[in-house]
Amino acid sequence: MSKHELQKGTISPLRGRNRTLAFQVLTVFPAVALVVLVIGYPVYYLVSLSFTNVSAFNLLNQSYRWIRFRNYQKLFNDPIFLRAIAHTLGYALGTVGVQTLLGFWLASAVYRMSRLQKTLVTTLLLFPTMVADIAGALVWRPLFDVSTGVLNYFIKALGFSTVNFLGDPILARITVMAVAVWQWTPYMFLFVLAGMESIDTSLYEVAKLEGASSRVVMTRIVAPLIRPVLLVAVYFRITDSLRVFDKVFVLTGGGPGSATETISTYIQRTGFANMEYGLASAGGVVMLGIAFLFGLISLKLVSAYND
Amino acid sequence: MVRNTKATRFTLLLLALVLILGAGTLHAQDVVTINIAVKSASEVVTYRKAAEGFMKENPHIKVVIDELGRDGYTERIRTLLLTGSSDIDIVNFTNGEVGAFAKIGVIENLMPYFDDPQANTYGITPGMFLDGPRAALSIDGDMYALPYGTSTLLLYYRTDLIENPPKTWDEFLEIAKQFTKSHNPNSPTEYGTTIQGKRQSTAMREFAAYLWSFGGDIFDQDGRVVVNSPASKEALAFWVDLYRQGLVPPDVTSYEYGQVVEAFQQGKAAMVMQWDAAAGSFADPEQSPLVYDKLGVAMAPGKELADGTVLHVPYLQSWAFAINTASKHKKEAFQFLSYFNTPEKYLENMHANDSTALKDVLEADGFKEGRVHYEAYKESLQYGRAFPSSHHMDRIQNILDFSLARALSGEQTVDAAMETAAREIQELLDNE
Amino acid sequence: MRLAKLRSWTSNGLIWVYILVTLFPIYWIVSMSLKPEGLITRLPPVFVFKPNINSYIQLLSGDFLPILLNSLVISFSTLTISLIVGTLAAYSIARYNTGGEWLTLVVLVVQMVPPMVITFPLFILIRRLGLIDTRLGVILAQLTYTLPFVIWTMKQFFGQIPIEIEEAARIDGASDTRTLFSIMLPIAMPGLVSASVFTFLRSWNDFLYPLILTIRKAQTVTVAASRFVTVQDVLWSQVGAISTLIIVPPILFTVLLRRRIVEGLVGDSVKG
Repeated sequence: MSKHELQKGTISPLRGRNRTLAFQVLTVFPAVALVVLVIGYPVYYLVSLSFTNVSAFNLLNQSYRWIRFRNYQKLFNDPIFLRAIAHTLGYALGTVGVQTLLGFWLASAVYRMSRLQKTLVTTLLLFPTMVADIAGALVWRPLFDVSTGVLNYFIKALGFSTVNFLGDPILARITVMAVAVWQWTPYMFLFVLAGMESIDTSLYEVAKLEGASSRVVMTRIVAPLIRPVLLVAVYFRITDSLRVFDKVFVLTGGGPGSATETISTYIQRTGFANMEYGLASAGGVVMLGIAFLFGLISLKLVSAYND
Repeated sequence: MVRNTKATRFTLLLLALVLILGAGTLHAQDVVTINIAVKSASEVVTYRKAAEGFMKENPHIKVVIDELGRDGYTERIRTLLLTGSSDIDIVNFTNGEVGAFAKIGVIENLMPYFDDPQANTYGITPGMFLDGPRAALSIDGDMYALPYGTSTLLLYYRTDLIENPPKTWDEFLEIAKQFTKSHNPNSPTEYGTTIQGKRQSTAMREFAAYLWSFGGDIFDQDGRVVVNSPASKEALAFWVDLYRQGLVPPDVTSYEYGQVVEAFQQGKAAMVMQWDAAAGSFADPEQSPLVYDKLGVAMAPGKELADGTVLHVPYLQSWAFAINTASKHKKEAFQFLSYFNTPEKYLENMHANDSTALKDVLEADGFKEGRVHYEAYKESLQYGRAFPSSHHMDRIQNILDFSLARALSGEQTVDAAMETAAREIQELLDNE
Repeated sequence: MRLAKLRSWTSNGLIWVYILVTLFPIYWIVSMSLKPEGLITRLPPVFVFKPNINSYIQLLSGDFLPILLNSLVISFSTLTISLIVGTLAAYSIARYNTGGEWLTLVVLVVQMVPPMVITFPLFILIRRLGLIDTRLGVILAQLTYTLPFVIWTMKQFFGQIPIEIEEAARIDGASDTRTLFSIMLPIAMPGLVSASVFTFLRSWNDFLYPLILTIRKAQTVTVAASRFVTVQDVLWSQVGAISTLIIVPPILFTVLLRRRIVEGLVGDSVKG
């Protein structure tokens, strides 16, 4: 039985339903309990707050009111919020798309390397992901500076005119995305590589014998087979990207103007900075809603494949 | 029967032991610990030194300085205060936030503490503080926080390039053009000056000096919103124009403290508006090898008026130390604050980059020494102004900050930006 | 043959170019930590200099070590708990479809919650549990995003393994747990390793939860790092030093595990 004839299915319980049921409950319960308990209350709080006008000023003396959908109206009537959503979606899809493509390229090349080289290269490739968001953005910031940054220094030395990485509205968006790609491509790379290594090598041998180019191998064989794994990786990257804050905040602050405004910088500016917790919560619910949509889509895609 | 007697005797002995021990500890003076949350800044060194000095003189009080990083500092402080946490006794923030905290009721009105000899062990008075900082932290005359230092934005310039620092904004503009390569190919520096244009950072504070000296303001005497007055708009137009004309680097929309300091240190800008605390770095040969010996400092420029006089209104700001209403050791907390703000102790504990909010310290030789920016600094304090202590202030700052960013980047015209700001500020007031 | 070799050489060459480019900022961080303050921002950039380890000495003689310990304890605990609890749950879901769609949805939704907007209620909850400024508090908070990640990842990897293997094990009389440990896990090792690396990483680099949930005792290295960025000064060489120290454990972790993954491959299991 070769691996590529993937079959998913459930095993018929062998030692009686009860034994298996016990096993199922025991194994799943801790995870669910932990997660639901710690997130349940905050999410409930988040949603209820979003329908109120709670701010630091009425919180302690309890003079806040239920204002139903007013927060949401305020958000969706603000063109800057809508723009922030557009930016965030573009950022998420764009960065994850590029990360995936690069990940495939890297994995395909690394897969064929000798064990020693593979180990070395993989370790080195993973470094950018190791760098914490805080440190990364902080270190990148001065590199992008027009007058005192290293990158522009080399660009000028090569005879080109300076690149306004952070001050030009369009370039600023690209720059922030570039930093994200730098940081997370190794993540996609590792998942693709892990997926590739789970596939039976005989498949590769057959492909090689038939003279298939690596591009064909990757797209026709690898991609379909590692789809479940890939979708998980993509899903997590997208939901993570939708939340982007630190990178943007450190590099551009959301500017110039509102060129790099994301949902989270918007919430920070209009909600938290003003201690308007009701409004901030409404923004959070919107963010959650968008992530939820993506989650549903991923789920559908995965189960469609598995059927 | 026998067992009961033995058990009873044993229990009684135990009780006695516990009582003796308990009483013993009750008599010993309890060590009170005060936690002070401070934002990471070069002043932290001073706070720690002061804490040590205070502990030496007051052995039964332990002072712990909790240095919290700059990122998310405001969030943490607010969460701690709003949830009535007694983990922190003294909080540190900038004067713009004092109005809100006082209104919410999470910081103490300090007036009673001044009059309480058990709290005010070092005998400080509100009158010891400079008028500007004191007013900035007072609400209806009552101080809600004690100011630490007074910061202002000074004009640092290259003495080898500029003989006489600009006194008016027009002069400032001319000199900026002279030292911008795109306007004057012979300019030794790339840009005339810089702007701190990054959102939610220094933009609003830098702009304040322009706004006020042009005759604009946030509120007029009658409390009406005037950010959209002709004078206010003129101020913004002038500031934005520096960017439009290319007199500042093209990415100033991402500039805050570090970038401006670097620009000056690397000789990229001929003059910059920067905090007084930068004077130390600029004058240090190790940190600024290219410019340390060519440093000039002046008060921020002003607007030339019809009668020929120049109106300077530099921006002033103070760090504030307030006492958490949920603190369990308020008197001890004030004791520390009274120690810290005694002029002699202040001079002992401060370090080279510190500023001051104390009248006596400002005049002291110990303060003048080594401060290359002393004259400019003193002048700025004399003419300068701080934001009002209203509880709307930090939300108004946010509104204006965003409008400034949009005007600067060209997303909105100066006119539209100020109109939007005025409208939003009015909405804020109306929603009360 | 020659063409293939050329292609492989170019491909490898390009990979190395990519590596050099992406490693440049990291090289920069490390060099920043070793340069004296004045040289760091100098242009043209100084590549040859006399390294000094003042920043490291300053850091290590300060309160950095206890903070480093906090991060290590928190991240390893989060990792261990996530792996054990998560893998068990994942196996159950993969094989028996426990909880059906509903459970998967819950796990999904939970992971989607943006940490930034639940900081306030999370603080209150952790406070009610008496866990503010404790490592356990941070671990609990982090589990909310690491558990779903491990569960989902392992579910996919388990799902890829053909049933016949398990059925064979059962016919031989193995129990559920036995099957899981002796058979499934070894095969799904690549997935386990990837999940481990990123779980550890997420936890190690987490800034927001430790920021909100700790004050002084349970601080982590990421929170401590933000101390060196102030409005007045960016102490570059210290930022560099602490960033370098922050990068080291994840890198060590990866290096150690990388060999495992390759071993898992070569010494293998299911063929044809």
